[in-house]
Amino acid sequence: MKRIFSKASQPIFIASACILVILAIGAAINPNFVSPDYLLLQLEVASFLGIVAAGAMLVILLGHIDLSIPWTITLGGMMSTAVAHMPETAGLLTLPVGLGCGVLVGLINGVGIAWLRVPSMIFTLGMNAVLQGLVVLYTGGSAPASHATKLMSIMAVERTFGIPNSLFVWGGVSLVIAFLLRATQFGRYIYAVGNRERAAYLSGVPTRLVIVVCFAVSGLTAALGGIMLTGYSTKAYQGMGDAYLLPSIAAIVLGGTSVLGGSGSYLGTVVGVLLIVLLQSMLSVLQMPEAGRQIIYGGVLLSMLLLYGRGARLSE
Amino acid sequence: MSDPIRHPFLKLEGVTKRYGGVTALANVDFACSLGTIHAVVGENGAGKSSLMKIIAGVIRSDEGRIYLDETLVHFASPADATRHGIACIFQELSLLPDLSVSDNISIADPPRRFGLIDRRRQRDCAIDILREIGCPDIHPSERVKDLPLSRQQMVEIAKALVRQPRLIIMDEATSALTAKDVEQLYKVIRQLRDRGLAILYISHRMHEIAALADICSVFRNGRHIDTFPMATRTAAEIVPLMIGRDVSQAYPPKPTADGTASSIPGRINVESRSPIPALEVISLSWEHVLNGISLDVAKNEIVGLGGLDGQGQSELLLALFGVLRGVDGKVLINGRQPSIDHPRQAKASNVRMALIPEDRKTQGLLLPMSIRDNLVLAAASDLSNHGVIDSTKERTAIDEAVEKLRIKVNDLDAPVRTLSGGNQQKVVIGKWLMKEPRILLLNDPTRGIDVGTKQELYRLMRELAQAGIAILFYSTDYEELIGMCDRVVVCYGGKLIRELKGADLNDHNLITAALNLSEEFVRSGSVGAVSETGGRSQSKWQTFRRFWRWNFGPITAFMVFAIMFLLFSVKQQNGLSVNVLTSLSNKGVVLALVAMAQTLVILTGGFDLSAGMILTMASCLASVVVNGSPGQIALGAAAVLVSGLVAGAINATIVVLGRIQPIIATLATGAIYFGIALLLRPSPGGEVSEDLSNALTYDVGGIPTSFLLLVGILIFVWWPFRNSVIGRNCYAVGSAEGAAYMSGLAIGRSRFAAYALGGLLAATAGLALSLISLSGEASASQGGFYTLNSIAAVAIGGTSLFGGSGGMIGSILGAFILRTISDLLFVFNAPALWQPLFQGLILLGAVCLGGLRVLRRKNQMDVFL
Repeated sequence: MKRIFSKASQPIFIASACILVILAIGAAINPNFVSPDYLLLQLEVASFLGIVAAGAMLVILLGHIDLSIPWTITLGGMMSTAVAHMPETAGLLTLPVGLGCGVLVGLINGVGIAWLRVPSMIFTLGMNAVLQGLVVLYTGGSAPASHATKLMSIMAVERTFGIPNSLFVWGGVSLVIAFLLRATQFGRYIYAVGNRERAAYLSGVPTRLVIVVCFAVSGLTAALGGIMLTGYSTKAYQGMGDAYLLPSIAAIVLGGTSVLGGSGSYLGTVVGVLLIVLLQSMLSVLQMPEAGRQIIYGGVLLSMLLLYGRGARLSE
Repeated sequence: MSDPIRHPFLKLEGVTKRYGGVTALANVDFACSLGTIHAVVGENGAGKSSLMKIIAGVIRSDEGRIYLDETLVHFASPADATRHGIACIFQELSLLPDLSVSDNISIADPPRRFGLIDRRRQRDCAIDILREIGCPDIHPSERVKDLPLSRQQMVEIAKALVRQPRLIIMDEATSALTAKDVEQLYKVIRQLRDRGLAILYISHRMHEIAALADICSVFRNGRHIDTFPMATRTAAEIVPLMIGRDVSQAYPPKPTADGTASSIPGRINVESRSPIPALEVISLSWEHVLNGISLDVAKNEIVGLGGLDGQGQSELLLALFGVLRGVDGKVLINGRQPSIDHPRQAKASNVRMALIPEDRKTQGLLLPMSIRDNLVLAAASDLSNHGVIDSTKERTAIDEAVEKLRIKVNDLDAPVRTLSGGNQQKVVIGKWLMKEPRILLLNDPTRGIDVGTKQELYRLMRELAQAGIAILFYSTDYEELIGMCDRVVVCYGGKLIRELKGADLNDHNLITAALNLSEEFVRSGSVGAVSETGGRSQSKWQTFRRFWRWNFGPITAFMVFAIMFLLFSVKQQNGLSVNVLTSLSNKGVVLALVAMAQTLVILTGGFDLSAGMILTMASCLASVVVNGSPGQIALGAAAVLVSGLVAGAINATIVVLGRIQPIIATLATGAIYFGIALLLRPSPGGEVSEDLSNALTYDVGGIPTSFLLLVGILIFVWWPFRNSVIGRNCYAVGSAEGAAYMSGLAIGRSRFAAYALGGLLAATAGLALSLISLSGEASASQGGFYTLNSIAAVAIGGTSLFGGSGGMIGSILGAFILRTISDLLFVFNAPALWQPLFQGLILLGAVCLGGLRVLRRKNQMDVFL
């Protein structure tokens, strides 16, 4: 019991309380806001952000950041559709190629950051620009097929027993990440490197490998997010990932993960994702103009951060 | 004996300081007077350093009063103590590594002229003070981090003296100095004393104290034992006061020559001692710090590493543990030679080596993590099945370690930070004992640990040795080496110069050997690396090298840009007309301005992810208000700039007062500024004064106006800022926040200035953008583009993303490089499709160049932060 109410889980409680408040406000305006159908729809929307945030969280736990997520998403969507429509592959390579691209991007990021020690912020920024260049180059010349395949729409749009399949995918990713962080040696290493890489290194932790793997996972989930998004919006397009970088970071931080690395739980990230999605949804239900949405969005983010910070300082 | 202190300048009464459960100082009365050199001696952990930190305002005492000139004083911060005429030279340097020598020397109170720092006078002042302390070889424009450690220490001394203090505290100030420097320093200290200053001198070296001090105070276990004129006692009489306990009782008995340990029964296993040593080192050398070290350690044996600090002992342990690169020589483990390039290999089953590192807080432990997590870190792979944690195995191992080491713990899930120093060290040791090491390397493991825990650790070490572990034990405490070790080898200048054992292993021999008296080493100084700076005249070549080091980033950026520009002008069909130049300049000016804004924030060690959104907000505001009559236009433009200033101030408030990470704080405020932009301009459009637009986008006498604007900002904003006290403090804060605090700088105020001025510049960029496009648009992608590219431009321009070094000129060049690539590719008829890829590759290539230097680092401890 003591562990549940510890300081570390305080952000999760605040964020959960915030979700309840949002649901209450939403219900007060429009009772449909809390109808099962609508909530299921919200969860479906949340699954895309959730998948992207799951991998990004590992990188943030290390005290790094992955700014190449937007174009990794796009690359994943583009490459998988392009391969899917080549007659000779019979669609078998759709997922492997799409996901493989993401992993490759992550591996390059990881090598640059772990070995060359380039600050992750600037290396992944450069990587994002390179990916953008590659996608522009690739799509501009030949206009490859970019509409979603059957597999993608099964993953992203269709439902099983009334539950969106995307939720199953998100659930699967979540189980893997949560298991990795809580129950494996590798998960411990991630927190150790995020806390102090030097101490982890002197304990014999292969810190470079940890960094590379985390970036690879981040690339993988971004590419998976891209494939799912392609299925959801029926086609891959340039800039499809732009809307996912900042919300994913915000969701992770709202869930209590420190941007400096070393602490945070996966449950928090899930709660953070739900909070962000419901907040956006409530603002649209309120028929708030985009301007007001942005201001409230930033204001909520800030005030919650100040709240967390205050809690942390009082308990010191 | 009469009271040696008649007119105390400084007087402390009843000072008590506790750290957690450990009492560092217990009801201490202490006084010192002007015109004396007052030595403070005592063992490690006797409370000397805590006392000095209280006097210097670094920490506050729990109880007690401080009088200065017979008035009661309270020091809230180091700056406070400095104002009262107290200067400190600490063991850990308080220098700002990215700043120049002269900047460092007068960081607290630089000479000023018209409100700006007078660089010339500051430089002269640095030259004077450096000459005074006998270091004319240190150039005042040298960057501090480019100096060897011994020179840095002299700069630290100069920095303390320049404030003309009345009381100087020197805490192990000679630890990194060469023999020649030490002599010179003695001379300076005596001069200062004769000028009427009070000098508190802390040292572990009795011969230094005997040579220098007038008065001596002895501390032991946090208590002030005695104070007496130095002339009245000899070193041999002082040492027992420091130790004050029966040494033989503190240490477990050593095994006697026939291999039986007299009082610990049941573990005698010495007859199995094999002829092959557990660890054999053959002529190990590394980087002039280790110079051909050969030694062996047998099973059951504790071998001590003695000598003064910094004679290569730590490096030897790191080299054995696989942390150093480029080590020559052989290391044999049980007669075999495994490759050890990483601590992972050192702990592998064919080696089974463990290292208890020097600094348990940054190298041994993950302070915010739980005791449980810390204990299992090294043995994680043994306690899991195929990578999945086996919690039963883990619990058993943890319970075993806690019991064996008697770690006092209520809650295994509490952060290890909450434990006392001694228990923390037990966690570090426990972590490694889980790996069942055969070889244990100890780097000063008892530093800062209370006496009781020390004795427990001593017993444990002996038990481990008797269980068959080979122990190599470095300690700065001679008593400990004598009490614990079967043999001690003494290091000097990276060599082993003497081995002591049996009856030879005593205080006298250890100290004589450590100082290496009567041998030829004395003349060559302490460590080999020092000589590189010796005897130089300031040749043109060195001036050039220095210039290069300072301006490496901007020069590279300039050369890249120059080459691009040349290629561009060669290919340009109609030559470089004013029109072409103007269009280039107009294209780059917006990004250049945002990059300038970003530079200010990054210099302080932060990031402004809202810069692009401030720009968007400002350009939308401009498209609403910058039109009409000239008066209205001027008012409108002013309003736009003020909006940026306010936005920057809000960022600053949240970062400084709210203490939220800059990245995430500006991410949130960015959303708000973008929302305001949307409010101002829900759809693209608006009206901007064409006259003002023309004024910005054309040229004056052949020079593009937008270029003149950048130059104007450089001259009228950047130059004064850079030369102002607050501007330099921004560099200081970004370079080393802790050292900046120790130097008494206003950290919050500097950050505030940087963010606010950054907001102003970002708004200027927004105004320029609306003037160029004659409209405003609230576009999130445009804001994001400018934010990210501004960071890229700053990085390309050579400003460190960790803060502390760089400048705006480089950032402007970086911005122009990024913006000119597309034109260059265009004139070379490169397909438009390739352009984004090229931009990305150039950015990625530029940042990787800096990374290549990391690959050459020889000490992995410098790589992992």
